Order: sequence, then structure tokens, then C-alpha cells
Amino acid sequence: MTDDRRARKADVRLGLIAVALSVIALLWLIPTFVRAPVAPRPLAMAPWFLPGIAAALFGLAGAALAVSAGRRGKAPGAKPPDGDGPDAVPSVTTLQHRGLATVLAALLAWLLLMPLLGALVTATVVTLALLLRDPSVSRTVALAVGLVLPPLAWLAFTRLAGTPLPSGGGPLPGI
Amino acid sequence: MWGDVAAGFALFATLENVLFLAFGIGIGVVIGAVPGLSVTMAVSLALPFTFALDPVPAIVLLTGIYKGGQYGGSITAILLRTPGTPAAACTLLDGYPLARSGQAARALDAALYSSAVADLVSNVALIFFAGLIVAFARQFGPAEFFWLVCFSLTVVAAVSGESIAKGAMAAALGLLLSFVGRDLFYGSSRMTFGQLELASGISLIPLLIGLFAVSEIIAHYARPPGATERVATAGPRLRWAEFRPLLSTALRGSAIGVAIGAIPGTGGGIASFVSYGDAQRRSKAPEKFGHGSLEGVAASESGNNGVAGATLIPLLALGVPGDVVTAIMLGAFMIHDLTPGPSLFDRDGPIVYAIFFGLALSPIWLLLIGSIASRAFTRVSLIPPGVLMPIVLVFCTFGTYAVNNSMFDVGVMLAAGLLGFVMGRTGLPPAPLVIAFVLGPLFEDNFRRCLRIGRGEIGYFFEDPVSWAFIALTTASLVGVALQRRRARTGERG
Repeated sequence: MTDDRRARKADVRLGLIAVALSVIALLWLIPTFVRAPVAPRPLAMAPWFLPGIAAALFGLAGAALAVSAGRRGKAPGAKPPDGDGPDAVPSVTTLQHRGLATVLAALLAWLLLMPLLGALVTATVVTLALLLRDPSVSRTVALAVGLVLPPLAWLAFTRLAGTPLPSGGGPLPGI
Repeated sequence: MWGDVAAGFALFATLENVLFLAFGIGIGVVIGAVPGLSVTMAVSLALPFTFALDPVPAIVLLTGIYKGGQYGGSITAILLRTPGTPAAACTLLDGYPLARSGQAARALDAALYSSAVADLVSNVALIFFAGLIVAFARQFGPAEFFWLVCFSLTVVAAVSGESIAKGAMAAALGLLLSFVGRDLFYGSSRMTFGQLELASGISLIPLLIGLFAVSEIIAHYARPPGATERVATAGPRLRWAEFRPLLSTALRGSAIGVAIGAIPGTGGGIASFVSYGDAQRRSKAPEKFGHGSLEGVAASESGNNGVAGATLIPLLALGVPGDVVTAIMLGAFMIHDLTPGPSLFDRDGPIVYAIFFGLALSPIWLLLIGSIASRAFTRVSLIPPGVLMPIVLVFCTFGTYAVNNSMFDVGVMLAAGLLGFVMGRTGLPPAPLVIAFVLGPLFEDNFRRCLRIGRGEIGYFFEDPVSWAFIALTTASLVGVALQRRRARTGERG
């Protein structure tokens, strides 16, 4: 499959997902989770009015994207989109999946461990883990940076700026 | 009056005052550069220290922190894609691509010089045109505000990149997210899913840090090892000859910042995006915006910094604080037995002029201190990404937690990071989402106030000439973008 065709298919898929999400928002999310205790007059004052407009706009823009991507394929010499931003990554390999899993685990560890172990220990552990996992960083640099910089950052926030950070011993989030 | 000016000069002209101003700007630049540590926080923390000071050094110190912080936010936005302040979210659109192409020093210099120009312009406006600007700002009712927000929303089209549809999708998502929380008119909850933390809405700083910085960290680990380009050099500094063509952009941005800053309830975020959109429309190379345009950096920073002096205009002239920082400064004035408002100039003229002399000196200190800080921070771009990313994550998490002392915000930041990563993969630009998220509550609030005041009649939206001026600007802006895109398409085919 050519890059052009792949990009076009991705845009059509994205547009259709947006339409589906918009329908879900309009039919379920907004009616269920936006409370309107009084009958407002005019209707545009209702708490659900502008969220509804935003959800509808999301779906309409998605539909426009799907249609334009579909039409782009039929036009001779049409150019694929650049893939805006520096994050655009063309394809995913097993190695990249592993990297992605590692960083997601690190983010989750931040969220779960910080209330339990405190900011200082969590920062040191997660930073060390990420540094030691990276083959482009030598073990010595990883240990030096991982053991020195998180405590320095912690000192800067707690002592210099006087902002409290979690000290540990708290419950798991949501429990 | 001249007697007050001379007495003011005598009051200000002490080494203590000059050093307090420099100290304030220095603190502001550093605090502004750390994500999560806000200028508001810095000014609040400094307030108790000013109790023992005389009024002039006290106010000058707080003003210095405010002005330094406005610039400081751009440093990490440019170098790490981590906006230190909400207004710096606009600066990173071009600043970060410049840094990635080895032009970090030029981007930082463009931001610094534009900030200093804007600081100068806003000080001049405050000192000489406060009365006129207050008269302009007083004409702003809900309808005028509503149309100003509509005009600001047209920037979405300018920052949508290749696809307007994707920009509109991102903007709609931003609007939807901005409506989360308690409804201010009816007090009912909207999309809070029973979470108390969501009652006051999604916090802006965690969202920004997640969308821009955490998404970049996730993207780094999702690439093959060593694939993230390391900026091997910070590159050459910006020469005067290179900044000269940007001067008109910086001056226009400063004027936009002053006009918007004088209206209470606005802020640097709106001003930077409006200035950015204006610069793109006027630019000879609009296609470079979003991909590393010095003009974009200059426009955003001048708009943002133009606000700093201008927010003092309603404070000093009317006693009305324009934002949270000036509200804290109002407290500082009162602690020192100064009552901002029309009588301030009559009662305490020499003190007011002494503060003005301090403000006049601030662009010079900003240039000096900003230059030192940007040189020091530029070294960050030389650190290999494998070492830098985990450390940035530490600062992002600590900074996000520090905003509200909330683990929930850390969760929001991580969720926004995942959202930003997915958006990057699918080509959805994050900038329209941020613009809509910032403007959404202002849009809704003024829309509903208009309906309430006009008793549901649509005519209220169109009663005032200022409203019509903004309607004309909005239309012209949309037509301009449409023509620009059409020309670009024709050029591609040709």
C-alpha cells in the first residue's frame, strides 16, 4: 500500500471515528452527564446547548474530513497530508511497541506510586528505570543523573519554591 | 504634575529600588520557565516579603516578577515544548520547531527582544495613554466581549496546518473539554462523572503540559532508540539585522497586547493567539507558521508581554484588577495605604510616578537578565534526549502537582499526554484545541450574559458599533484565510 493511500485511509477512518464519537456524545454522554434542573428560556441558555453544539461540530468536521479524504484519492496528483507536528510517526515496529509500553508503565507508576512512596522516591525510581532502559544512555550516566537530579528537583520545589509534594503513606488513587 | 514627576524620580532613584526591580525580574524569569510554577504563585509568595518594604520597592518588585514571568514562560516552551505559562503555548508552535532545527538561540533571542519591545510599548501606553485606553476598555460589555472572542477563535483557522477539518475537530474537542465542570448559571454539573475535582473544570496547566510535553516524551519512547534528533548545537544568536524585519510584527503584537490587556478578564493567552493570527495573515511567508517561523515567535511573545503593562492600566486608573496577578497587586497597594483609582494620582502622585520610572527601566533589565537566562537555559538543548526526557517528566509531574496540590491533576496531565500523542499520530493539531479550551468559557459566559440581558433577543448582539467592528474583523479574517489557502492550493497545482 502506498503512503498516499495509507494516509487517505487513516483520514477516512479518523473522520468516521469522529462521527461515531459525536453521535455517542449527543445521544448518551450529554443527555446523561449534563444536568439541567430547570427548563431554561431561551433554549440556548440550557447547560447542554453549547456542549451539544461542540459535539455536533466535532462530528461535522469528522464527516468533512472523511469526505475530503475519500475525494482526494480520486483526484489525480493529489498530495497526502504532511502529518502535522513533530510527533507524526510513519509506522510502528515491535521495538517501538516495547518503548511505548515502557513509557506508559512509567506514567502509570507515577500516578500509583507517588501517593504511596512519596514524590522523592517515586521520581528517583521512575527516572532511574527510564534511564537504565535506554540503550543510548550509558549505565554510569544513568546512575549519576537518576540519583542526583530527581532529589535536586524535589529540593527546588519543596525547599526553594515552598510547594508541598506528596510525602508518601497515602492510599492508592481511587481507594 | 511636573512637581510630582520630579518627586517621583527622587523617590525611585535609589540603588535599592533598581536592585529590587532586577531581583523581581530575575525571579520571574526563572519561575516562569519552570512548568507548573506560575507567576501568580510567585507574586503571592513574594507579597508577604513586601510588607516590610516601602511602597515603591514593594510594587516594583511585584511588577518585576510579573514581567519576568511573562517572558520566562517562553524559555522551556521553545527548548522543551513545555510551556511555562499558558500564554507560552502559542510561542512553542514555532519556537520548538526552530529549536529542533538547531536554531534554539535565535528563537530565544527573538522571544526576548520581542518581549522587551512589548514591555516598552505597554509601559509607554500605561504612562501616557492610560486615560484613552480605559475609555476604550469601558465600552466592552458582554456583546463586544462575545465578538472579540469570536474574532480570537478565527485564529483556529490560521493554526490548523494542512487540514481545516482536522483543526475544526481539535477546536470542537477543546470547546467540549472547556465545558466540563459546574455550570455557572444554573449550578448544575456537566460531564464531571461524579468527580469532585472536575467540578471547577479541567485545569489548564495540566492540560497544556500533557498535550505538549508529556506527548513529546511518549513519542520519544515510541520511536526507535536514537531516532529523536538531538539538537547538536543551540545555533547562532539572532543578529540585529535579522530582528529588524520582525520589529513591525513585534510592535503590532505589542499594540494588540496593550488593547487586550486593558480589558479586564482577558489575559496573555488570548493576546498571544490574536497577535499570532494577525502576523500570519500579514506575513509574506504564512506557510512557515507552525513549522519554525521567527515572525510567529515574535508575534506571540509581543502579544503576551504587551498585556503585562496594560493590565496595570485599569488597576491604576479605575482600581479594577484585570487578572489574578493584578488582583494580588491591588492587595499590595492597599497594604501600603495606596488606593488605586482616579484619586490615586492626586493623593499619591509621586509614588505613582516613581513606579512609572521603575516600569520604564524594566525592559532594560529584562533584556539583560533574559539574555543571561536564555544563554544558561540554551545548554539544556545540548543534553541527549535519552537523558533529558525522564528529567523533563519529573519537572512536569512536580509542576502539575504543585498547581493545586492534586494527584487528580497529575492524572489529567497523563491523560492529556496520551491524547496529545494520539493527536500527533493522526495529524490533529493541538493548538486549535488549546485556543478553544482557553476561549470556551469566555465565549459561553458572554453568550449567555447577552441572552440574559437581551431577554433572549438576538438583536442585543448587534447593538454597538464596537460589536460591528469585531464582526467585520472576524469576517475579514475568515475570508483572508480562505483566500490564502486557495492561493496556496493553486500554487501547488501550478
